[in-house]
Amino acid sequence: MDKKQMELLQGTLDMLILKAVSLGPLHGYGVLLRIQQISKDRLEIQQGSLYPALYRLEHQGWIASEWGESENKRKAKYYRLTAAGKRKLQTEAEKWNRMAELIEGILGTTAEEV
Amino acid sequence: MRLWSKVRSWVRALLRRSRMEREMDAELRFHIEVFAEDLVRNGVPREEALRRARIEFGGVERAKEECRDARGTSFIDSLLQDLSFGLRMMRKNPGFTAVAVLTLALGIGANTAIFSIIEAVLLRPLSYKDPGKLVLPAFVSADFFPTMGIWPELGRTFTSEEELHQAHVVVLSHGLWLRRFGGSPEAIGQNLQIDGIEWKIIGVMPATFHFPDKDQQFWAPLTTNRSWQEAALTTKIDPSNTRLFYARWLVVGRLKTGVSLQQAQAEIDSLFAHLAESDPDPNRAPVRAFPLGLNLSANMRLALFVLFGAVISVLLIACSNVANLVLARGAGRTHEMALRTALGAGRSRLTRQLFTESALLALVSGCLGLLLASFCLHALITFGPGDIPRLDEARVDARVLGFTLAVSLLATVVFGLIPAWRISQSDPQESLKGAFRSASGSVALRRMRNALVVLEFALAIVLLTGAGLLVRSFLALEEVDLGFQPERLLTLRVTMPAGVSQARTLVLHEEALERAAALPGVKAAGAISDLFELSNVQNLGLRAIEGREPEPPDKWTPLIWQTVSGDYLQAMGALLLRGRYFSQQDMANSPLVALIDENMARRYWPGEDPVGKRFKGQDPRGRNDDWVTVIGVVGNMRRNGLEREPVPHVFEWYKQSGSTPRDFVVRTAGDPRITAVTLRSLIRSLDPVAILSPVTTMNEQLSEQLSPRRFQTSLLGLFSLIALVLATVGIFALMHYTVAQRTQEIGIRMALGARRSDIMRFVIREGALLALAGVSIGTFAALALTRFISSLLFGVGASDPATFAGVAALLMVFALVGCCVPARRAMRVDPMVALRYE
Repeated sequence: MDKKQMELLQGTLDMLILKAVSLGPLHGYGVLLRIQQISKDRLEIQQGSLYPALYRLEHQGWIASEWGESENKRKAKYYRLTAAGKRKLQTEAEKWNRMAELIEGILGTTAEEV
Repeated sequence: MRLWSKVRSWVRALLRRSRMEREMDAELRFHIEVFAEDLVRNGVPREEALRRARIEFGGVERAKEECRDARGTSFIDSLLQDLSFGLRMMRKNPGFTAVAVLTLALGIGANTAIFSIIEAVLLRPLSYKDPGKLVLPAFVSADFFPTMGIWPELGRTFTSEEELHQAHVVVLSHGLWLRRFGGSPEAIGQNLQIDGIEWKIIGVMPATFHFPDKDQQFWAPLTTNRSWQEAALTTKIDPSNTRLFYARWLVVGRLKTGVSLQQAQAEIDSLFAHLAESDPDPNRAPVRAFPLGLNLSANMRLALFVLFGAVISVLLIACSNVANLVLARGAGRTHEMALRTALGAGRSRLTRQLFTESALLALVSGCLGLLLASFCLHALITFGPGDIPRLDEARVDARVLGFTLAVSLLATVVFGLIPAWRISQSDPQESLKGAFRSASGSVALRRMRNALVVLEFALAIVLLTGAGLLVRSFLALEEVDLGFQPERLLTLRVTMPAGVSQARTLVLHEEALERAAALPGVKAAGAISDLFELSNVQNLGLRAIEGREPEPPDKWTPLIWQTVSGDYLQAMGALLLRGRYFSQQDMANSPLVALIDENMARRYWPGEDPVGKRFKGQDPRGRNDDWVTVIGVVGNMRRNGLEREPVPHVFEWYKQSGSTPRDFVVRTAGDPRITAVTLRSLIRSLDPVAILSPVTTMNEQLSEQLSPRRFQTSLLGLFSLIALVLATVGIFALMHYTVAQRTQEIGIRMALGARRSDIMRFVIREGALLALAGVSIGTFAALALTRFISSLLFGVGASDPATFAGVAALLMVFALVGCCVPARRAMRVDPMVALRYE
C-alpha cells in the first residue's frame, strides 16, 4: 500500500459514490476504480464497505440499479444517479464546500485577527 | 418519493428475498473476479490474484450482512433466520423439545382451564351491580328488582300497587321466555298457567340474571304466595307463633355507598331492640345481615383459591424445569456461541436468536397448552359436580387467552433471557479455549440450576401435602359414622302443586306409605319433612321444659325440628336407644309425643333418662300449650351434612305436627333399583297431580353431597401428581446434565482408584442432598400454609405428621429414582474415554 494514501473521512463515501455515478452509470467495481482514478490513487477505500454504501443509497432512492453487460461481456449490476440523487449530491456538495471554507477560515486564523 | 422507494425496496426484499440474495452473491463475485483479472493483467499469477482480491475485499459475509442491514430488511431476515434456526434446533434435539414443550404445555393448559373456571365462578360479575354490597326470595317484593340494580330486557317489573292487591302477574326468566314464547315480544300481556292459576306476563329479565339460583324461571309478587298469606294471617292472630316463617323469607337490601356491613347490622339491631320494647316476643330470633357475594360458600371460595395456588405452583415448577433445561443447553452451546461471535455475530444478534428460540418454544407450548386447556375444561364441566354455580358457563375466552399468552411470554422471558445473559457475560475467546467447560467457570450457573430444583421440590411438597390432607379428609368422610344404614335405601320427594288441599295431600301420603310398605321386597317405608338439612341450622330453643325455667333466646343453639311419618326411623336404620317408636295409636287428638336424638338428650337432660320428660313446642294448630312427652331416644344421624357435627333433633309425628312430610325413604330387601320403578308408578297412579322427583338411592344422595369435595380433591390430587412428575423430571435432567458435564472429573476419580459404587453413591448423594433441601424447605412452607385450609379438612389435623412424613418420603423416593438413571450412566463411564473427552 502506498503510504501517501489517505483514509476516507467519515461520511464522505456516500458523496463520492454519488459523484462517481453522476459521471455515468457504473458497476460496483467501476465506482471503486473511478474514485481512485479521480483521486489519483490518493484515497484508500475499504472495498468491503463500498457495497453496503451502495445498497444504502439505493434503498434511499438516490441511485438506481439495473443489470447490464460489462466491458468484458459479463453480467454486472450498474448503478446510475436518480433525480433525487442529483439534488442530494448538489446539497451535499454545497454543504461540504461551506464546511471546508469554514474549517479553512478557522485554521487560517492568525493571532492578530482574534 | 423517498418513502416510496424505501417501501418498494422493503416489499421487493420481502417478496424476492432469495433472488436478492442471489443477485448480491453475483455482484460481489463479479467484483472479486474483475479485481483479480486486473491483478493478473498487472502480472500477478492467477491463483495468487484471486487470493489477494479476496483479502483486499475483506470479509464477504460481513459485507453481505451489512448490505442486508443497509437494505433495511435485516430484522425480518434475521427473524426468519432465527425462526428456521430455532425450528432446526427443535428438530435436532427431539428429547429436549418434547420435555420442554410438554412441561410448559401442561403448566399453561392446566392453568388456563382452572383460570377459566375461577373466572366464570368467582370473577365474572354476578351480573348485579357491585354484588359485594347486597345483603340476601321466586316470590319477591316490588322493590326487589330496583334493589338488585337490574332492569327487565322487555316489559316491566311489578308495582307496589300490584303487590298490595295480590295481582297474579309474573316476570319471566330469559330462558323460559325463549322456551315458551320463542323470544317473541308478544309474550308480554299473555297468560301463563302455573300450578293451575293464570298469571299475566308483564316482563322478561335479561339472560344474565339468575337469582336466587340459575334455574329460576319466573318471579311473582310476594303477596301472592300462599305461605306468606297464611303467615301474615297467623301473625295477626297469634304473634307468639313465629315458627312458621322464621327463616322463610330472605330480605335483600342494597347498602348505601360508604356504609359497611357492620354499620347496617348495628342499625338492624337497634331497630329490633325498639321492636322488642314495643312488642315483646321471646321467640323472635336476631336478624343477621350477610353479603350476597358470600352466597357461594366460603369453603368453595377457599377451595378455588387453593386450586388457583396449585396451578400457579405447577406453572412455576414447569417454568423452572424448562429454565433448567435451557440453561443446561445454553451452557452446552457456549462453544457454538463463541464461534458465532468470532465469525462476526453481534451480541444483540445472539441474544435475539436465543430469545426467538425460547419464544418459539413458548409459542408452540402455548398453542398445545390452549388445546389441552379446552380439552381439560370440557372434561371438568362434564365430570365436575353440578352444584358449582356457573361452572357450565366457563369458556376459554379472550381474557383467559390473554392470560395464557401473558404466562407463555413471562415464561419466555424467564427462561429465555437467563442463558442469553449468561452467554453475553462470557468471553468468547475463553469459551473457545474451553475454559467455560471447566467446573469453576460455571459455579453461578450450577447454583442457579440447583436452586431451581430445590424450588421445584419445595413447591411439590406443599402441593402434595395439601392434596394428601384433602385425600385423607375424603377417606375419613367416606368412613364417617352416619348413624343410619345407607345401603338399599330409596329416596323420593313427593310434593303437591299450590292450591291442593291439606286433606288431599294427607290422603295421598298415607295411602302411598301403606302401599309402598306392602310392595314385595320392601322392608320399611316412611317419610320426613326434609331428607337432609344442608343449609345453616337456625338457633332455636324449647318454649318450656317441665320443672325448669324457660331458656332466654340468647342461650339458644342450633336445633332441628322434623316431622316424620310411617316407619321413617326404622327404614333409615336409626338406632333406638331408649323408649319406643311412633305408632298408629299416636293420634291427632291423643297426647303429643316426640322422639329425640342423643344430642338433644344430652343438651336438655344430661345424665337423666329423657323418656317421659315433657316440654313445649310450637304447634301451628293452636295446641301450643300442650305438653309434648318424649317417648324415645334414637342415635344421632348425620342429617345436616356429612362434614358437620350432628345437631340436636326433635322428631314430631305427622298426625300431630300439622304438616305432611315430603321426602320418602324406602328400605328394600334386594336390589333397590327394581323397587324404584314400581314405587314411582305406584305413587303416580294414586294421585295424578302429585309432583314426583326421580327416585334415587341414599348412596347416590350421599355421593352427590360429597361431589364438590371429590371434585376439589381430585383436581388438587391431579395437580400434585403433575408436580411430582415434573419435579422428578427436573432432578433427572439436572443430574443427567451434571454427569455429562463432569464426565472428565468422574474419569479422573476412577483413574485414581474410585470404585464404580463410589461414583454411583457420589452422584446419588448429590441429587439426594438437593431433594432433601427442597423437601425441608417445602415441609416448613407446608406447615405454615396448611392451617389456612383447615376449614376444608375433616378428621385430620392441618399438620398431620403421617401425611407430612408420607409425602416427604414419597418425594424422596421419586428423587432417588430420578437420580438413579444418571448415576448408572456415571458408573459406566470408561475412564480412558472420559479423560480424552472434550
